[in-house]
Amino acid sequence: MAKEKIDVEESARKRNVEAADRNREMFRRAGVTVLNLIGSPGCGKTSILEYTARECEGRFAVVVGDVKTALDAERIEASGIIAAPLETGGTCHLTAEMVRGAAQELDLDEIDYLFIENVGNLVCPSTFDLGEDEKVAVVSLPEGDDKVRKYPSLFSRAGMTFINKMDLLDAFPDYDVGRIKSDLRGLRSDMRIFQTSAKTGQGMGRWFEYLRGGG
Amino acid sequence: MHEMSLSQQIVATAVEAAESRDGRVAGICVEVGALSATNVESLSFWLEETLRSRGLEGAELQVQQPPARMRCECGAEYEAEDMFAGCPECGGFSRETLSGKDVRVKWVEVEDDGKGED
Repeated sequence: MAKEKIDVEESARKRNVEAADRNREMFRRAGVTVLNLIGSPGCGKTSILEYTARECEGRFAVVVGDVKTALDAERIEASGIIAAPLETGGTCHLTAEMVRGAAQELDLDEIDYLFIENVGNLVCPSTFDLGEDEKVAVVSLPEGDDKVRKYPSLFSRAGMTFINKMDLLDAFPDYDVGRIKSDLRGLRSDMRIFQTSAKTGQGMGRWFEYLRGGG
Repeated sequence: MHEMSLSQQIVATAVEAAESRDGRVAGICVEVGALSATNVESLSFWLEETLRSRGLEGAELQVQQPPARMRCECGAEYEAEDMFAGCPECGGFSRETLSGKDVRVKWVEVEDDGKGED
């Protein structure tokens, strides 16, 4: 047989996209809104969820992805909401299939919001659809105000961004909050921005209003 | 590092296409969108490694990198290499991405796998 060219035109992400669509359907049936939190290691993803669990009324659960250990899931559970740990064993992002496995451990009918805490990483998680309603980016002051420009893939796909650790503004006087906000709005004019400190609670009220308003 | 899992998916798709014609993979053409957050060098490395691990070394790899296509709310359609390119007509950033976020297998070239009856 001679060489033959076959037109395939298939996404290399097809398998994950199909799994994400199945997740979306599962979440829709249970009436759960799903938010996928993505940010660097140490930016405050877990702290934001801990503070939310302690201070905001609501039926929440969390799927917590980490390369190794269930430490973050234990922290979140200690603050009073159900957390399903998900150890990726080396993978730098969560996939839709991993999330499905963890979400099936939860009673989805008993919750209104499912937070997915992705692996700490600004690159890989941004391109994996997990079946979420919205990606939520988290940046923090010590990381510097250039992150939006350096990692546009995440911020162009996220509908909301936390600028966290605002309590450290005095310690990082060069951090230009105006710059990062205009970079965010440059990528997405409809970006919802929360300037917060999950330590002091600064700015968390607006986030709670968003959660209570159901989006 | 997600280039490794992408390459596994790409090669699996190619092998499936080849097997549907009772052949083996002789070439793969992949399109990497400008906004796909994919490192082409890393993807090529992993594609070669994945092909080798499946006994398909020597298969020809083609990687295309077309610019992304955007549609601005002013109605203009334009090409962009990254998300920081505003609309060339009005300078706006309220736009819809028409293409460029995906990594796609365009075509697969298939040859006789040597197991045929002739």
